[in-house]
Amino acid sequence: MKKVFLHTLTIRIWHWVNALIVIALMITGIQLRAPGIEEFARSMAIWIPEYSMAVLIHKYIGYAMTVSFLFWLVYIFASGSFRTHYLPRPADIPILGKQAFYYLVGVFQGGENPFAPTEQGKFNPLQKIAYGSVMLVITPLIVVTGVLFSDIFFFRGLIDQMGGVRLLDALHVLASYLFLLNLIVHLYMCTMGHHIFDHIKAMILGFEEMPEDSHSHSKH
Amino acid sequence: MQILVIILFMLLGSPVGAAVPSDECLNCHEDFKKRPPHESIACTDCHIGIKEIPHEEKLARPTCNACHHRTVARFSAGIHKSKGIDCKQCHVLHGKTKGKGEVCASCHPDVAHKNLPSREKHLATLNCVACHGKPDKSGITTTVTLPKGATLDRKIIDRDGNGFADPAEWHAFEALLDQKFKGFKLQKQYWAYGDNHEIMPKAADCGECHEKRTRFAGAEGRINDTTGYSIPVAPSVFIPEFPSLREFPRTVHGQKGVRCTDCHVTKDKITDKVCVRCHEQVYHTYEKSIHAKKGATSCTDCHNPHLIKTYKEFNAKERIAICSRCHKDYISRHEWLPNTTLHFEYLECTTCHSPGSEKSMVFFFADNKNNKKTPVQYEALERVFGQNIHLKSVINNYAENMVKGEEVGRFVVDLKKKMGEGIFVDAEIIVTKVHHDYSVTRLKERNCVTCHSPQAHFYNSMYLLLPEKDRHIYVPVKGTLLSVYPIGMALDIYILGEEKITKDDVYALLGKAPEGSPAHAKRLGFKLIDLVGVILVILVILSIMAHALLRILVKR
Repeated sequence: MKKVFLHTLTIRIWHWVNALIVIALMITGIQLRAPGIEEFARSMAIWIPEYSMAVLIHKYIGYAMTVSFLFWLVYIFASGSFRTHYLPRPADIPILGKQAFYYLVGVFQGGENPFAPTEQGKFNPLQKIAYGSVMLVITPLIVVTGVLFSDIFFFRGLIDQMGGVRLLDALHVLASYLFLLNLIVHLYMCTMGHHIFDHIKAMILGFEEMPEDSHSHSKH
Repeated sequence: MQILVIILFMLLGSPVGAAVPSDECLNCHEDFKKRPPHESIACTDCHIGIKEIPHEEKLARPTCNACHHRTVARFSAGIHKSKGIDCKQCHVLHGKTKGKGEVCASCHPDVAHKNLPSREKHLATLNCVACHGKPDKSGITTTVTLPKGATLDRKIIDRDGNGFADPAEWHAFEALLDQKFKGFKLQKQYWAYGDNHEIMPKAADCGECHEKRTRFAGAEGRINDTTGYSIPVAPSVFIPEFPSLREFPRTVHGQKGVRCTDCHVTKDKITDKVCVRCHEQVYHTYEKSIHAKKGATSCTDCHNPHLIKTYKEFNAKERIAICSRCHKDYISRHEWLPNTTLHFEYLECTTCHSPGSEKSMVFFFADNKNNKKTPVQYEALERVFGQNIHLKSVINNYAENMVKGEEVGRFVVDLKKKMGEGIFVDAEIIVTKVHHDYSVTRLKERNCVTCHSPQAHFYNSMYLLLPEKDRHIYVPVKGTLLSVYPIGMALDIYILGEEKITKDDVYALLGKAPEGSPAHAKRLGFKLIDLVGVILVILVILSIMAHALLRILVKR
């Protein structure tokens, strides 16, 4: 067994702070979208903020999300992490099929994961696609539309130019559903390590323990 | 300094070259030895013609004019002169004490001022000269003293930064005082400086202050905070404007043929008894409400019977202005409402607080210039369409008493070409048929979906408000104005609730829609996001559960 260092301390701290932010935004976001939930939660004796409070929480944690996202963006480009881990490479293409096959079939047959994360590349091609689209398309869309929503008065000119609040609302919600779908898959996939909690441990400690032989696979 | 002046005066004024020194006069006229009002001048300054002592028995009458010519001129122009009163009747010339002459009340004690409306208010705030004289200077100074250590930025009063507080700005400021500066003091002073000698035969009429503003033309707010500054304020804030006789025929009551004496039956303030003679039904609804018992007890507390606009023509802001005269803290009381100020741009108080009233979505044409929205006025339309234009017949060619959404759409496109790109359709949700009971407070129903849903009651009652000469008319709107438009046209009408899917929509999609599922899906538009989103989430969760189950079974 050897230790592979995957996540820097900065990324680990950012990940867990961002996780809290996302949870808060998801919960309040659902309440904003479906105000009827408030009454339902009350009848079940579950505490839920008042609608106006939910609006405020969503707004200010949304600002936190904006800061968190910008921090991540600057960090991965400045640290070179984007080149190392995110940028798709031609070599990724042949593994795509293998990787998908492993998740859908191989894993049940006791097959080996065709990809092992290393310091030179921690994401397999499918992960690159998923994380890349979440962090560079979906999240920016949520952040930008969210910031515009934070003060409709102030951004009125811009909002009208892009097609009005209705479209803004549609984009924000659409992106949020895509984010939620990715989040659900993300939460499940983190159990797909050698041991069920391996990936989670890695996000806390920074390194993952791997069998020596699996290293050779990463050369693909 | 004073002593110097006196010495100078004595040197110049003393009878150096006069034939008879005052001391010699006083030998006989001992009583006048002390004569404070005129002590500094010699006897012969006034009693001219004395060359030696003993002097002639008959001397010319002393004239005040020689020294006090300006005062005498003003006095001569006034009523007191024409009534045969002369200086001596008020002023003691050789008195033993220095006095300033008699005050008005010494001759006119307890003047009844029977004909003066709002008698107490006027008498408590004004001096005699303000109405009976010709004030050289007059104005209103309102001093606001803030609690110790408080600072108030000028911009809070003068929000548009034009260096002048208009009525809306000042009223908003007074409301803010109540909320944020507990213990402040507000003192109004109506001051008028004039010469008491010039009293006019007839007092100034009401119009001089309340309409033409030839008196009290300026007002100033003096802010005593840590910095201390003053700002000019619109005088109409402190002295209400009256409709003149000339304008009365244009007022709502005037147009209906009501004459002054129909309401002003006595000289006292008008009571509800006068109003109830015509407005019986409304009055009886209101009479029983808590609002009438606790707050505004008489009709005129809220309604100004001399207005040119009918209440129906008021926009949301103007309606709020009436309620907020008492309910100044309405913004802070509605902080639970997200985007409070935004909501109050489109709603009036009774949109929620009068459940018995009929609310409508009222559309009107507005111009957006420099991010400032103003309703399009009749005069502007006349410049474009010619005189005596009836917009309704321009929009609807069929002489129907309604307009269709598409017709309005076409008209706005045309209007944009003629009046500029800033033209758009604005809307407010206001009461159009009033039920006069405003007792409902603390509404339990703080639910966004009351309005933000396709089921909202006002969708059944939509009107287009059109300016006509001297009035506005309400034309019913058929079909929806919101959805037929490109978004840019109705840029300020956002009712997001329309985007949320309902149970009925889902049932309709499941094959029960009269026009068929695909057509219904098309109509749902953005609402489909939720439906598709939730279905996808469920599918993903199900497949993950299946995946996990398989993993457990094969022990991976």
